[in-house]
Amino acid sequence: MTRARSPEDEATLGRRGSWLLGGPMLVFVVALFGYPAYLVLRTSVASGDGLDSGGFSLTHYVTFFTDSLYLDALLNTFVIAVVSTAVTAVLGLLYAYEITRRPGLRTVLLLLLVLPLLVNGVVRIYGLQLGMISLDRVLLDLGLRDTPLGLQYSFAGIIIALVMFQFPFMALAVYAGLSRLDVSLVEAAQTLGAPRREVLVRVVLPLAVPGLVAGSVLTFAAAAGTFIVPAMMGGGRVNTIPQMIYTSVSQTSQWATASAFAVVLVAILAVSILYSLRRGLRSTAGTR
Amino acid sequence: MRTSSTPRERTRYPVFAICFTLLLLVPLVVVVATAVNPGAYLKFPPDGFTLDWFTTAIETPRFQSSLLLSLRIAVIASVVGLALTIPTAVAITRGRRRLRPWVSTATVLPLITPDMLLALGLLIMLVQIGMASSLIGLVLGHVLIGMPLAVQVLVAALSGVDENIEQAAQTLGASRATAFVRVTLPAILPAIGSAAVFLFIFSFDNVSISLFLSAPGQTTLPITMFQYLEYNSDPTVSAMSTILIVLSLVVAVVLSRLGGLSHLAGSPTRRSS
Amino acid sequence: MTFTHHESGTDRAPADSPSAYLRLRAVTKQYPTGGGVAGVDLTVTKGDMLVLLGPSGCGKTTLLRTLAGLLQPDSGAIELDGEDLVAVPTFKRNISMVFQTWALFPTMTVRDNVAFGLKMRRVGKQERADRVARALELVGLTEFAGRLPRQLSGGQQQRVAVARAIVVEPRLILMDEPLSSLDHRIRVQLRAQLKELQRGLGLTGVYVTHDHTEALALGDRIAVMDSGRIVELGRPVDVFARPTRRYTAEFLGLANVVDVSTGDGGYRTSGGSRIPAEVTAGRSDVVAVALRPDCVRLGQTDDGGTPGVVRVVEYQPGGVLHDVELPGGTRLQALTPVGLSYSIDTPVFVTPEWSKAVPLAD
Repeated sequence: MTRARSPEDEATLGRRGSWLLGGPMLVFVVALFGYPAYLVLRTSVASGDGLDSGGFSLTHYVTFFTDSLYLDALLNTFVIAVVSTAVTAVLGLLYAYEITRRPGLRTVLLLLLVLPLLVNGVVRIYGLQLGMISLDRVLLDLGLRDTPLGLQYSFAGIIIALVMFQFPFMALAVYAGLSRLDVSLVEAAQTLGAPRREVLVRVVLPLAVPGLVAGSVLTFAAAAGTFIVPAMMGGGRVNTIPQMIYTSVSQTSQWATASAFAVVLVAILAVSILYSLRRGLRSTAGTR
Repeated sequence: MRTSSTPRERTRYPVFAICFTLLLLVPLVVVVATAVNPGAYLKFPPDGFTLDWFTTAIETPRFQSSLLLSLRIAVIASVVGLALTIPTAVAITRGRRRLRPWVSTATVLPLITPDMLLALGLLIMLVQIGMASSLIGLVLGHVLIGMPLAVQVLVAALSGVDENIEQAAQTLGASRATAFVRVTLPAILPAIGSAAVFLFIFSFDNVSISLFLSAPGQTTLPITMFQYLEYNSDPTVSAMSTILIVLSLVVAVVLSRLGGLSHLAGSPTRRSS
Repeated sequence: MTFTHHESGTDRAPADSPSAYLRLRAVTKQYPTGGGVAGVDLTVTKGDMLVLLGPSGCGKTTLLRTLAGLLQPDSGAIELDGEDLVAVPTFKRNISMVFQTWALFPTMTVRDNVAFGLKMRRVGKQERADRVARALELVGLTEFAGRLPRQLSGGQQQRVAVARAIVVEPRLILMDEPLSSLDHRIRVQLRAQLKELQRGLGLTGVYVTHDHTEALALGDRIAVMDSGRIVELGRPVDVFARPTRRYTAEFLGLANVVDVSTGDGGYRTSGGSRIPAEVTAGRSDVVAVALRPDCVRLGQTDDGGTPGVVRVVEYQPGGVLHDVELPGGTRLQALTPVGLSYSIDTPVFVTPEWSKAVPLAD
């Protein structure tokens, strides 16, 4: 970072003006993000389970990693996040590649794609459940199945809902990279005798990687952190960390336990994301 | 003889993408369909058509009070959010070089943190200062959630404004503040509109923060619907959901008019590409 | 046109000349990353247009923005009509500026754009309307008053910017390449209008450009800038016909610049031609001479000239310009009347009239 003043620097806000305008946001974020985050961390290492217990102990973490109920929730959370991220990434890549190669109706498609993002999550899950119930009835009526799939309360249902929620972000992130692809480049490579698969791997994929990484980070974080999706789609059968956090607080007032869950969740997210970012950056570094 | 058509001259339609996009919209269609079914049960496709359930939904006291509460909080969150984000965006685009990265990082933090953690932390803090289940906490929590996107929209708009016009105003006798209010602010009015809409819808739709910070018996609409759906599902909740879908459509139209829709999913849908 | 070298091409007004309306003393504004201006002394007489001429990065825009108060000088003094400007913020300087991008207010109509400065000066409604109408009439945009800037052509937008600047009757009008983003034809047309307006209203101005034809057309005086310094200052005709610096001559590109060195009893070119003593007049700082292309004769008979070959031929309004390659690879440009031109690859004999050369210092 240079401390040099650039030509336009003086024409803009001075020191006092900058602090006056930027300061409130800093205060806001410290007060409503920084301090609460500290409180969660502090509460998670308190000796008792109440709010003002004070002291220091790692009991809550120890409990977490020794209790099979909690470990199951941890595993569930992780599997849900990984699977839904992988599915979303594959679908998003296919989608983005196709609308890059075949631009018909592209503007309308992208508009329809972001539209559901403005609809309330509860409503979207409710609609998805209704759709799954209807699907079951159609399958039964047509005699294609003897028993209902019961997707509306299932592990698969959670994955489907998360894919549906995160797909627009993934598709658009990948498309942002692919839209820089010159279609004639693909055709040129083909006329030069490169087989289709080779073209995809050498020309198309590198452009998609940054978007895939960004989209995956978003999807992973959302899937691991969501409360409403497993709460509604899981039908109380699939336990995840966010659900444990909520029940610990709302039903049993185990503040320290809830805080420890939250810290573990953030730790998992941070480690996974940093790891995938490093991998992602390394694989794009070669294409530059 | 077969006449060869050149594929590049025909517009080709992305069949998979079209199908998939429509598939994502199916749940919304199902919700609307079940809301107009005359019977007192959920049925898709519907057996007939009625708008009675909308009346029932609006008149259900639980839904009515939640809807009003949600609207009230969303409006307050938009106003508070604008008061916070407009100066922030100015500081990021026009402020001191050394301050800029701090401010922009601060605005991104809530975006990359799971809502559950934000909610838990806020709840602990509010309980400690004895303000749990106050509307102020709920409003501030909603502002925290909606603020990142609002700042992003405003920053994009402000960096698109020729800084020379502010300077031109100064050479014509306007002080720096006057120049900003008279010249720059009108130029970013559509973005301010978009930011307000984002703050509104992020507050209105929020689940996690509201779940933790709503006082018992005083829950926002999404929470009321969530709790209602735990034990019931009937055309009333479909009708309420349909109202929310229609509201989203209105928001989408407003946003696309204001040019803010492209920011919703990370802005790759820029006009020309 | 003849010039004697004693009438040295610059009529440098002393920095403290009493007639000075705008006066800059040792104005310095440096950027750590390089660029800016260093120790600029300037004076501008009331009613004059001073043109700052130079390539991009020479500091001319920095100097202009310092005058506007959009940049704060590191040191030095700026006085306008006897008032020290340095501590006065831009909006209290009673000046106006026309920007390269014109910087019209996009949300305001043409009328509101022009009225803005008057509103800021709290001019009454009636008077404001009158003055706006008059300004729009002056630039010929009366019927466009209700339009928004984006509904106007580039030339029209430029005229709005000018109207907006003159309507406030500024003490000083600053122009930052206001014509550079326009087509050639419109540029020439607006240039003439601009000069007429400035003269007619008696405005004092500083005009920044990199285009020497603009400088020639608009300037009462021209300051040529290089690396943050003023290297040449004078009336346009002097600067162009008798530049004193090699930098100026090369930047203007109007004449051959031939390196010279001191030899036995005078200056010689690298080709060995002797520069007449009356050209250099006993000066010792001459490093090159400028020789206009019309001072270079071409012929096909060996009359004692240097043999060369025509490499490029270019038709120009004033004749035919030949680029002639001399032995050793050096090039010399020669301008001949249309009837007396030579075709490419023709061997010719070149006779420079060194007595018409202009001496250049470094």
